[in-house]
Amino acid sequence: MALLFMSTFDKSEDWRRALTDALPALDFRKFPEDTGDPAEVEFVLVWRPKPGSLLAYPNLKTIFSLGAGVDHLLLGGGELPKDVPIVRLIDAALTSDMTQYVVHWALHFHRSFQMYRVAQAEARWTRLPYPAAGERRIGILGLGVLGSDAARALVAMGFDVASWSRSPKAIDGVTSFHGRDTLTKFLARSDILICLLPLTPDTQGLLDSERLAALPRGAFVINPARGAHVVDADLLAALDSGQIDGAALDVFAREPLASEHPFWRHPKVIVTPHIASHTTPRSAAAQLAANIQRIRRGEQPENQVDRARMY
Amino acid sequence: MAILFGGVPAVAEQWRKLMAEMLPAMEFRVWPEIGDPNDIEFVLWRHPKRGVLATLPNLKALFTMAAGVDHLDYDDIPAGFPIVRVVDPGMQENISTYAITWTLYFHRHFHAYEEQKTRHEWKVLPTAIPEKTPIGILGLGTLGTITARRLTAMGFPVAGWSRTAKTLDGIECFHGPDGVLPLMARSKIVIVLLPMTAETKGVINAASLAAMPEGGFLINVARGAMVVDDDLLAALDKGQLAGAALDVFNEEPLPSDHPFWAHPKIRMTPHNASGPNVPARARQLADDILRIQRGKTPSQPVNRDARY
Repeated sequence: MALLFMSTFDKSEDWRRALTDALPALDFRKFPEDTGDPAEVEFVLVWRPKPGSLLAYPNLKTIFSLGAGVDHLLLGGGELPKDVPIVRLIDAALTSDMTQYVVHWALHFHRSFQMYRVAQAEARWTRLPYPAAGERRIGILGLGVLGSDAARALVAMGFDVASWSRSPKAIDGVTSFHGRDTLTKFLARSDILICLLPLTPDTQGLLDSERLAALPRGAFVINPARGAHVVDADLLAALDSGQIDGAALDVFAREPLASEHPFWRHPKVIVTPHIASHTTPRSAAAQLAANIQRIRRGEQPENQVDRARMY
Repeated sequence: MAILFGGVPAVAEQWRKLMAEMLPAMEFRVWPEIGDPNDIEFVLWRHPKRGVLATLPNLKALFTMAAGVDHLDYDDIPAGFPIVRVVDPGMQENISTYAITWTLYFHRHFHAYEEQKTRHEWKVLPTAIPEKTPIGILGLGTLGTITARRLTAMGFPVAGWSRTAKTLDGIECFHGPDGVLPLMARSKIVIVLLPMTAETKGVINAASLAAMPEGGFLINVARGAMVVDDDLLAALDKGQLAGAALDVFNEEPLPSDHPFWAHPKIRMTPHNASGPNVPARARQLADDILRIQRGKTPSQPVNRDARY
């Protein structure tokens, strides 16, 4: 029974090597040229499939996403085979990269490095006061695997961390807000807002003018989740008015970001090209292999997505 | 029994209040209101005015408010006389966090993405892998050690250099004059956390920069005099170094016509890696005064011969 690799974005050979090292007997096939008999395909390892294309595999046991996000399947994937589990790719390297990205920009804004950049351009020597870490309030939207890891790292650095999630969570040192009706209160105490939500119809466009206005004036936004979480025009307006003093954005509604997009020109926006975390075949293969073995034994895989919740 | 405070009058009152709470038995006097010089047992003064200390016959210790002690006039301080740094744990945390922030900035190519942004260029640079980014820390005192441990925990291979030989778990240690170049040679990012002494002055120069692998980074949060400015500029201009973050300079404030200001590969902050946290310092001062009164060693004594 075969694993079909479907992605125009990732390098199939790196994945083939890593996976067959971990599972030597695996029948790794590259779509479309090596597909062979669709009935033999047990697993797909996929990024951005053509809508409806996964229906071609009648014996599909599991859909493995080639990334942490599954919105490419659930929002953009068209019709998917019913009752086939969808599994996210989460591994330690991906998580620690994301935490590093988030921690860096939180510290960067906390210590006003972006303001010193401006002062430097004007050859101005001005020392800016900054609060103790404990007096800087950080708000993390989303407390899944990624949000939790980032939260722990920021708590360990002494920041005043709160989280907002759909269901209640308990992480040492993190003030947990949950449910839609607590969102405004959560935002009001977020000097630095970090978005680590999955993209679902509920979270799409969450960061609009109303939500941005609920933040303390002069707040900072860090978004390495999905561009569609942000309403671009509303963020730009908030940056122009000074409601938001800086934004570090790794993701955009359309990627690559079109060169005429105003984010490129805005002095208070930091643009990184969707690099906050990466998946390497080597680090992911162990987890994928373990999941394949679980499935073969009839067990539940790890990081399975709740299709109704869409994450 | 009195403490003599010599420092910025604006902070004197804050200190007075805190000392009244923590050491109610001691009087707090602000220079030049010395009162009876015989009363003064402790002086809290970053850089005491020359000649003042000699007029205080019962002086037990000088507390200086700085991590670095290179600014002191050692010949003005009576021989055999304890000098104690007042540092607070917050300061150590702040300085190591500052160094780590710039480490992450360069490691994750944020300087390069910033440059690409000016050209609206969306280009993904090679994945940054901590295990492949060796860090070298010059200075393995408290600040160097804390920073080394934090970076090791993040997955970076860390080496350090100190004047005398040290052993630290998980950190490759170099020492002595012959240890500097080997440390530089195995470091993609070098962080300077040395005390300022005759030996460390100008340690970052053409030779030590040339020893680094090409395209490395420098983070200096110690003293400007450790860097030979022209050598740093030359190394950046020819690409030997890909970037530098500097919090300290040979002259502060740095004159506005200094070439560092306009250099696209330099990131400057105005000697602000750690701001003063008076309550934490007051706590440490009070604790150390009590230790000295009980005949114990204070927490951060200065070795006068080594000058740190």
